[in-house]
Amino acid sequence: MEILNKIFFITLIFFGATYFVFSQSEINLREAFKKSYDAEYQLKYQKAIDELTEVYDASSYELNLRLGWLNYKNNRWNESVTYYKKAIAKMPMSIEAKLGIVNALAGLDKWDEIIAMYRSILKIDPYHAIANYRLALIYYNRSDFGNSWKYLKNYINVYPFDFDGNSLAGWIKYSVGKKEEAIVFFRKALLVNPYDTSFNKVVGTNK
Amino acid sequence: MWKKTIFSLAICTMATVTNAQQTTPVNAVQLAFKKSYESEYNLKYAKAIEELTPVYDAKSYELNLRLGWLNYLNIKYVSSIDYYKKCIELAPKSIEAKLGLTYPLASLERWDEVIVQYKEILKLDPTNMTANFQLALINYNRKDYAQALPYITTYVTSYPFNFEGVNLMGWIHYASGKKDVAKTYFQKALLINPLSKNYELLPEMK
Repeated sequence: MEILNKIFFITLIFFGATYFVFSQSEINLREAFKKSYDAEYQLKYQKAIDELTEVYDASSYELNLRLGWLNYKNNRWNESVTYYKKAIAKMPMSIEAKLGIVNALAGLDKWDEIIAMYRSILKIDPYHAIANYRLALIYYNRSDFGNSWKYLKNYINVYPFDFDGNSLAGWIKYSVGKKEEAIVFFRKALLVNPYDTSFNKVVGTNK
Repeated sequence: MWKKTIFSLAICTMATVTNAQQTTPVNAVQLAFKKSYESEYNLKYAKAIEELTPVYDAKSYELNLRLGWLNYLNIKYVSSIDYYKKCIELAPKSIEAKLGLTYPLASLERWDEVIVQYKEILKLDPTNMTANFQLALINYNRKDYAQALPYITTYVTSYPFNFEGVNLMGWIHYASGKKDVAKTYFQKALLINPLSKNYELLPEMK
């Protein structure tokens, strides 16, 4: 009986301590995030990073995601990429982490890695608007109009009344010599934004 | 020979002129859209609709989409639905038109039809953020937590650090009696928004 009492007492202490530690660490983590947001709103990115250092846990998706973002804002793109990669390793289906890492990769001009990241988003979500549009834009800037059209087609099929989509569609068609098709897209773009002047040289100033 | 050619050319030109008169010039449509936007920005929705009436073409996706939106803003929900449905007929893959249609349907509380539209979006785009979140929310409000769970799971899997998603995931688990799981999500939600007071009254969070 005495042994049972001891076990009960030890168990009680153990669970009580675990509960307390868990709660306290949660409170500390929450407080660190709060201070970090406060510093970020004041554009003090280094301080926002420092606030999280004490509570950093390499296995935490949330901490790695936040540090990826803050290091990107602090122009520490290599560090940002490292944190985002940890977040992606933790949650491979996370689209938000993949969208985050492309900002830092763009800062480093690592366009092939950006393409790989957008393609991995499309494996999860084939009609993802940002991934399709940006892949189309990257290939357009590389003058690879075939690949550019492949991705843009997915975008404008689901968002036919979007200025950026119709504009880029027009420029792709124009670049491959299909001027009449280009004008159709430019005119659609002008219905979305009648004040735009970027197509004047193709469509004419009287539209 | 020349007479024949001139005659044919004349016929051809006349036909072109007649066609041009029958269809609204592109400039007129663009001008009508411009005026319509100006009225919308001034919150004059009926005027914004009227600006498009003279150039209306039932086969135009753009005109139907815009009239769907403006009629919704003008609280003419039934008309809005008609225009959006025409859009969807013209462009069956358009997610923007299906999302647009859910607004007047929701205003008329035609929730079963809202669900149909979101499910149609998911057939095209299974991880669409809005459709998954809204389907989870509608089912949660109907207390159908089993139906809500797969939609919010898809959403949170793609966007694990999104307050609305993590918050709703927590409430769905809480309502299903899985309070420990719910607590984990509420704690995550509080990392995203430490100022949230959503869970203050829950004994599990004290």
